[in-house]
Amino acid sequence: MRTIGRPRVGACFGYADTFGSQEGVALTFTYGRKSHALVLLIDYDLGGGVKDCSSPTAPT
Amino acid sequence: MIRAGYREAAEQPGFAYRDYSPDEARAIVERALANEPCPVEEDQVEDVRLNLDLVQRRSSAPTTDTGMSVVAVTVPSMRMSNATELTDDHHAQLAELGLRVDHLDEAIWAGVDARASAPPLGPTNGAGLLDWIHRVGRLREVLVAEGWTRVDKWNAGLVQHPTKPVVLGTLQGNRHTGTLGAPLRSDYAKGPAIAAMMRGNDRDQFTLFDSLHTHEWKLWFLVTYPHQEGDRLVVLREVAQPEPTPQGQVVDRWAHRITLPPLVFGPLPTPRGTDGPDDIDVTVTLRG
Repeated sequence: MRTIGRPRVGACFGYADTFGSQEGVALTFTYGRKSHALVLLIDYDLGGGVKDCSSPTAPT
Repeated sequence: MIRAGYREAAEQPGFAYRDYSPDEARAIVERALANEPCPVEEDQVEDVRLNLDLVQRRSSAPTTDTGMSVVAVTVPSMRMSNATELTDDHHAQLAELGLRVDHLDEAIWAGVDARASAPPLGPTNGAGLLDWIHRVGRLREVLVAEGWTRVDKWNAGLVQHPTKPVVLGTLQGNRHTGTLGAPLRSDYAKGPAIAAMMRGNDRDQFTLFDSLHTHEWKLWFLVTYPHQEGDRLVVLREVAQPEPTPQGQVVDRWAHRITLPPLVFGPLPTPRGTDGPDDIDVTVTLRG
């Protein structure tokens, strides 16, 4: 297996409500000129699992 | 931008914006993954179904020197069961045509990289069209640099060897691409230009390479077929010479096929010749 590239982690940030019921977190990665992110929504009222997640890649 | 979207969301009463270190972010993700996913809305269910595996892979992959786990983008040389290993014979057959595997890889990689730039709300064939444009363009760039000549008759997007009777184009195949003996066929019917260029092609496999010493041009194709396997993009590939095929028909008869191992890309192909990262600019709509 030949590795041709490896993404680099960029900024990580998020938001949370002050009652601790929900939290959003974004992890960004860069690959040369390309950027990519993982965006998660975590719901602590529903057990603390992933309520939503996406992987936006294209600029808008 | 994501960050701007989050800051805007945090301006709502009861919310706060936070910056995290990679380790902090990773810890949050790992805690969430330890619990059962809890999507509620239909679109959340679909998002989780499509993306949770990627999140889990990122979380479990080896840690880099940046302190964050990532998945390497790799090109396994010979991992697929439906294709043969790269052998000296493959290299020799390609060399007969004046080609090397890296010529093909450059073109395929350019197409895959271009796919990632297709806007999500663009035409449904946008990614495939970008793939074709960049695959043709890069293939001709690397070959013209070695003395080949571009051929644009009827906008066919071909390239011609400087001394051998070889003309090369690109073609999208089917799931049998790269599997010798399987029924390979083109995805689209061919127009008058390609039909005309195929008239001098061989009509059976027994003329292999002897035909290269004739004066009649032979039209070959870099045949590719990209498909998703989990979070990886797999590009099946081969170089093949079709038998003469009338205009308006798909190409499904082949005089010669040089099947090659597929290229397997991770979910996030890395561009070659990078100039450094640009800013992320993605709109995020928060959902509760």
